[in-house]
Amino acid sequence: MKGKIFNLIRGSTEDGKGLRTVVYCSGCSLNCSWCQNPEGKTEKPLLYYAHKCVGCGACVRVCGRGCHAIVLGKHVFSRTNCIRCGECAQVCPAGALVFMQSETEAKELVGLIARDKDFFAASGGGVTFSGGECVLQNDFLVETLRLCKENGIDTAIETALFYDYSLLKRLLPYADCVLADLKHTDSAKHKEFIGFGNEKILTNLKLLLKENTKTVVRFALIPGFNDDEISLKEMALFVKENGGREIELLNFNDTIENKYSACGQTVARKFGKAFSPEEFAKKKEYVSKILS
Amino acid sequence: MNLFDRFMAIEEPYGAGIFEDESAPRFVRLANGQKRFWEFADMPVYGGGKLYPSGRRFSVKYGIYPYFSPTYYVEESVLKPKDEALNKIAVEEFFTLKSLVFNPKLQRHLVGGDGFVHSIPNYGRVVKEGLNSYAARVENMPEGEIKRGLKIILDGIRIYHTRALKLLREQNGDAELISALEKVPFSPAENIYEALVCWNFIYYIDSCDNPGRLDNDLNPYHKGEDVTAVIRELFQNVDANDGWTCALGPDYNELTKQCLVAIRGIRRPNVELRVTKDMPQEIWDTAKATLLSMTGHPALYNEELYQKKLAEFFPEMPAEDRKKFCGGGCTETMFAGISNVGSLDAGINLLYILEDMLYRRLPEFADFESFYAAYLREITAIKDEFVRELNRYEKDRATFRPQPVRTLLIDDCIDRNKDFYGGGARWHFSILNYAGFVNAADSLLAVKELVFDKRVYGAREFARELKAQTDEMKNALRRCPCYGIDDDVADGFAARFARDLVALVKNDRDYLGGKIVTASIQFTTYLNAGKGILPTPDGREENAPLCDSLGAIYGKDRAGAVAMLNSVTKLPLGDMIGTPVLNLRLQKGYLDKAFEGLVKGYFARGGMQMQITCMSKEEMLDALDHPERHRSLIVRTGGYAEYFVNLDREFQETLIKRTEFSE
Repeated sequence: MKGKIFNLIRGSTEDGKGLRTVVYCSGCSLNCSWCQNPEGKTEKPLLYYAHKCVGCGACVRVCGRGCHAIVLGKHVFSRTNCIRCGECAQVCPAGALVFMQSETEAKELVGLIARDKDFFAASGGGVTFSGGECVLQNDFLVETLRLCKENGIDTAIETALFYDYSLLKRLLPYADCVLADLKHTDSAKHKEFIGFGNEKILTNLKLLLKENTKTVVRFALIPGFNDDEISLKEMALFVKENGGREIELLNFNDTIENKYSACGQTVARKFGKAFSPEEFAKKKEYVSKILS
Repeated sequence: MNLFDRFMAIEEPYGAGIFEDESAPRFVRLANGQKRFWEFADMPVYGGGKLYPSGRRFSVKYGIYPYFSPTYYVEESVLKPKDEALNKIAVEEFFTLKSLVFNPKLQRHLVGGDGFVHSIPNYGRVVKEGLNSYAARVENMPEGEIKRGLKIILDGIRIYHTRALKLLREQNGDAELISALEKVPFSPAENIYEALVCWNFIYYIDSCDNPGRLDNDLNPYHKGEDVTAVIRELFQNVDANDGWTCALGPDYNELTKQCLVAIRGIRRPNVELRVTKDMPQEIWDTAKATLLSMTGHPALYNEELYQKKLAEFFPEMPAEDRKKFCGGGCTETMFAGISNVGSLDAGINLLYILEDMLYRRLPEFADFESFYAAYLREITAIKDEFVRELNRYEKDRATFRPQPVRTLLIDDCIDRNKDFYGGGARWHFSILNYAGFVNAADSLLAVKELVFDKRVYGAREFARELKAQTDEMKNALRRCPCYGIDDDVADGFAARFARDLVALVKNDRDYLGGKIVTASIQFTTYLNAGKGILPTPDGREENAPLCDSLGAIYGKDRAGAVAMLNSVTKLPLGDMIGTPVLNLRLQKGYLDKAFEGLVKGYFARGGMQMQITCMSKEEMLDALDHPERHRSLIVRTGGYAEYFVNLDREFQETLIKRTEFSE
């Protein structure tokens, strides 16, 4: 059973408890204008980090479509004719061109994850499947999660809940924890910034909170979208009224423009700066009081 | 004027003492030199605190002064201007012992060592029994030069002690300190403060080397008092004298925590924390808080694995003695109070040998295995040369440079009636330091790939392109397999290489019959160890430094901290018992969350030692431009701690380049 992933980070501390391997699965059904992983929505994403380029011209020599050139000693990359075959990334010695998608067998992936079992055991960590939207690669994820559990690995799924609930239900027997994203309770605002209303998401969240699986609801704070007190209160009350016990706030990542540039894309909207430690602490405290 | 008077006239009491009676045995002469120094040299400045001596052990520049490893040292730049003739006499006397790397073949391999010996006095015994009991034991020795010399040393300590008390009284010193010093170090200490005063005093008597196993040996005297401030003073004294290592644990107690708090913001001693599987959470938390204070302390040691491996290496050593294991110097493995460990006796620059093979001999070989075998033979030849010189040096040292102070303070010299360097210490072994291991491993992997497996280059062409550093060559090297990213094939080769290196010394012995154990401790030598070496296939440029520890070469560990740690644990770390050092740089936020998991996971996989620097690239870059803002920034490198702003520019820049792991 094969799946498509666009990144894998080992030793992460940000997506679940302990040290975790985070597997980023390709594909997503939403269109968040602050998306931190735009490469997760693109088929065969090819990233170009201009600052890493050493101008060696290796990519020029292998590209059959003339997408790369060295002009006055500088590398120029045009995506117009690029079919994202990944040949240039294979020969790039500096890591400036990175082909982010790989197809991997579930068994092979679990083998890689299992290499860090000592660190998982030492920290209460494990593996977190994220993305993109990992739940959409449903068969692959069922198989992978099952194998992880067979190997004694703690599992977590990070999901935005925008799909038929039956897909998530299939995974729950193998998931120790679900990190469920809640972006906004106001459907109109949700549609304005994300492209879709939130009805399905709210319904799925209600169902999830009724399950036996440990669920942490995550609010990614987006300046100007959901960081105000009214929005936070509504979201927190929704969670509380539906039996949720744990909310995690995530600070805004204001460096996403670099990633978009590397993907050859531009950010749809600008949202301002990340919250200062003091501001962030205040918002955490506010939400915590509502939940308690 | 006789020599004694002539040296005294130029205010060189150590020299005066050595030459006071030239017919006396050398042990007695050196003991006399030490005594005269204590009798006449400047006393350290009293800082007004709870401990004395304090601060620099002497403030005046002496041309001849006590120095723990060579017993004393001759500083010609100071002595010669005072009296050229006396300088000549002193230098001739000093160089009756020829340096270990006197042999020109070995001079390029000065990557730590040249016979340098750190050690740790038996502080705990002095605190418990008092020096009067030592005097009684010396009195019971058979007549001879050792007894005669030790009596001179004890005499000298009394004189120094008397001078210390006189100074304190004249300067209205702390009453409690004076009261304690009226008792210790000659009588046993009866409370924690007296024990600390004694400990500090003996530290200065030993010429300020390692403060040793503080928390465990002082614990019997501790009744719950908060002595953090006094410990901090002790640490400041160690720092003022560029002192060395203090080990904490494995019997954790309140003093362990107080030591971990006391060291914050202070460069030395290098604090080591011995980590057991059941180390209490409060020790973990205190250690993490100390690391987060960006002090570089503590380094972490896998207690269970060290005990297991030490038992394998020294099957005859009882568990009680094994428990006294402590780092000395940067972090060389030794046993507090009972050992003469070669410390960094000698080093071999693996990359220097490989450079010669690559640029001069590569075309001789049809396949990688024969090239590798020849490389190992070259290393063996240098190693054999070192072992011969080491034996010669240790034998000469026992003859020409006995160490009377350590003969008194380290067991079992009195019982055996032997000098410290002459077989007196209960345990003895020597350490051979392999430098440039990671550079050599990656270079070998690249040569295998490009010359022998894929035949991208012929041998001569490879050397030519490598030396010229063509873009094509650099790109080709970047794509070669490398150690440090959890690649089983590359790491497997590195592990094989390490096993082969360890095996080379298996049957070697030093002059006293001690084993020779291997280590990988670069401390600061990795900077200069690369000078004069052409570009190498690990991607290193000409004259560039070597890799500073067993982690991946900076910039290559692109798969993250956990992957890198996995790679390191594939090496036979436990067999490099001299200490296999791993430097790790973590961003503060990541350290806060990942600390325990990383250390526990690493140790569970067979990691032995880890030292963490927690500071950001931005902070270090700012410190380059504004050192005045970052005086307390401390880095841990190769085994010991240093203020970042004290390092020279080149060194600072290598530290900035060191990969910073984050979330």
